[in-house]
Amino acid sequence: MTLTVPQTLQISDLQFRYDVGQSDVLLVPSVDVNSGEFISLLGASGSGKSTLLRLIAGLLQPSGGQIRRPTSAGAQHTTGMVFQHPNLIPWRTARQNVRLPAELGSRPSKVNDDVLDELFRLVGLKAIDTDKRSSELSGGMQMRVSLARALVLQPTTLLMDEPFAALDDLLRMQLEEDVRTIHIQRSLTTILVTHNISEAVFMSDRVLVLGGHPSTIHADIEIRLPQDRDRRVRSQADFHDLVERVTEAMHSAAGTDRTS
Amino acid sequence: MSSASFRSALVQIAAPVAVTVVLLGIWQIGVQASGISKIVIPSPVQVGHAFVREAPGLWEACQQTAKAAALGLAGSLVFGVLSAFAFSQSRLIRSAFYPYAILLQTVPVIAIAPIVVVAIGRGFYGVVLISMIISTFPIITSTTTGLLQVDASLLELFQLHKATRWQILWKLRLPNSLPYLISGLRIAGGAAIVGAIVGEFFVGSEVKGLGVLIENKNGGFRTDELYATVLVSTLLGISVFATTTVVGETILKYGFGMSLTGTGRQR
Repeated sequence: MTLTVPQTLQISDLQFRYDVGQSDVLLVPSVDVNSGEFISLLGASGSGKSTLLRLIAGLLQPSGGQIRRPTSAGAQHTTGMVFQHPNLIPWRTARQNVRLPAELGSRPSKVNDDVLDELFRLVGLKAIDTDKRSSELSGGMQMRVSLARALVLQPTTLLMDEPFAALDDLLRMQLEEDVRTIHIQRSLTTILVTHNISEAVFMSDRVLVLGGHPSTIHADIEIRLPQDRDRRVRSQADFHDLVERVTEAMHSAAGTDRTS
Repeated sequence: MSSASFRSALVQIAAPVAVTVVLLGIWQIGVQASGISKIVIPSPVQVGHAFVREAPGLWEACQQTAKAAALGLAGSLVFGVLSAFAFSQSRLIRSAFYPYAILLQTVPVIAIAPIVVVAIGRGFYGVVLISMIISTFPIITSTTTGLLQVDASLLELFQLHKATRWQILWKLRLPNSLPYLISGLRIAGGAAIVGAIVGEFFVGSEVKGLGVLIENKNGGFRTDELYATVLVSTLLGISVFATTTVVGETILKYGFGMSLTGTGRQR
């Protein structure tokens, strides 16, 4: 018998509740995320976007329905994740932090320094900083290390949970461009959780707006912008129209009137 | 060192020294002015003379007590850390045995001493055992806290990569518990000294430690020498606290990039 490996991440009839007997907090009838797509999950606080991301990561188990993840045959790890905070281990250097995922699991592997150096170049971290501990790195550098760590096992799917929320605007915009470039270069399927509308529009191919009780996908908006994006995109009329459209969908999902 | 940090260090040293000088001055003047007998309250100068006069005996007793306390502390470190490991791995073990750990803290030494005497007799190892019993609890509680209080998103990272229980313990929980362990060790160090001195007082008549010396001086109305012995006990406690603090902070800072108050500077 041959196993069918899906090329898309398929979510169907997904239900999630925190405890048995409680009502569902999340209901997602059907979502397909195509290979190579960049999706943003957008919604107000408490709309279940981080919960959905953790379900996709396998960190939470659904109460019903299923998530079929794209996987390479024989590959042990196919998902990398960047958390809201850089989440680096303070007693490890940047290099040791990036190496960590390879040391875990039932079949730990070795990652040689050449691969790590290539990763550090990719995420824009200087060689001189790679042997520093996290306490010696700025917030932006810590986030770049966290991104390198998520990429070290060459995942097919990259999950990001509000990674730029704590960064200043200039740094955030730079990292948005960098992550978008890495996404294309590495042919990743990327799912980003954010509450920042322009960030979602700038980085994504599709924006899913969550809202309601229980929370569900309220809108699925395709972002028709050039594949390669730099800061000039942010001043284009198309970009502003899309931001406006997503904003309307956010208001609709939250049940608020824009004029109120 | 910047001028700000130099000023800060100066304040940290100068403030307690100034307070000590003032208190000693008040004590000296008070004793002289009141004409109170040195058998009741000796002056600081009389205590100083007794300290110099009795220095060889005090030094010998100090070494004995330090030796018993060091062995007691080593025992409590091994037993405390192993207990904390067990507590961190199973809620059932924690629920079943943690009350006994609390018992170690709450039971008075005066109640333990006769049990120890019956079990292993009077002498040096009785003192060591009492010192260990008194100093184990801070190590168990602080290390258990450090093993359990791991950043939730770091745990998620380990779970995402299917880390084994051993990998989570060895690569995450154990290093995370180090600042907690060292904090516990600082408290346990003082407790071990107190345990050794009190232990000598009750079961160590054959051991010439500070506890026995205090008992002898008290019985002989040599109050100035009693005060000198208490002073040595205090200095021993302070030196153990200072040593565990300096060694612990150095290991944490240079070996693990952490500090006793947290896990390194975050920007």
